[in-house]
Amino acid sequence: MSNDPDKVWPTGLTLKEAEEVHSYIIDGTRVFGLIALIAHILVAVSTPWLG
Amino acid sequence: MNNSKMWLVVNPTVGIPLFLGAVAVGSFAVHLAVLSKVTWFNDWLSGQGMNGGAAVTSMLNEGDATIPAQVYFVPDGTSAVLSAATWL
Repeated sequence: MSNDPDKVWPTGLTLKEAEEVHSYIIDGTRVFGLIALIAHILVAVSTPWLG
Repeated sequence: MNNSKMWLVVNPTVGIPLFLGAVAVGSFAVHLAVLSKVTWFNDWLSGQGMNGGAAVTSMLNEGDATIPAQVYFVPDGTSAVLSAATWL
């Protein structure tokens, strides 16, 4: 396993593993962004923020 | 997928905490900066609404006589009467 020819160094991940890690980060960022967008809309409506 | 090859160079055990930490510190700094500049946040925190108690003041000015005095009961058994004149 350690001499897997698909592994890329310095991290030792394969391209497929790197894409999997990245997909989780993208998903998390989208969920975070959606919640933040809703929160900002609620604050804009209920406070004098943004005038 | 765009940019996914960065995880071939940056170890996720370093890169992910760094990314999340940057988001946390950045958003905290922005919120602190905004809330320390606006005037309505301290009013709201101290229970005066978001317009510095202007609504209450204008209510009192419209007709002080129609506003009943407020009676506050203190835990030691005494009470205090706070009239509209006292508020102003």
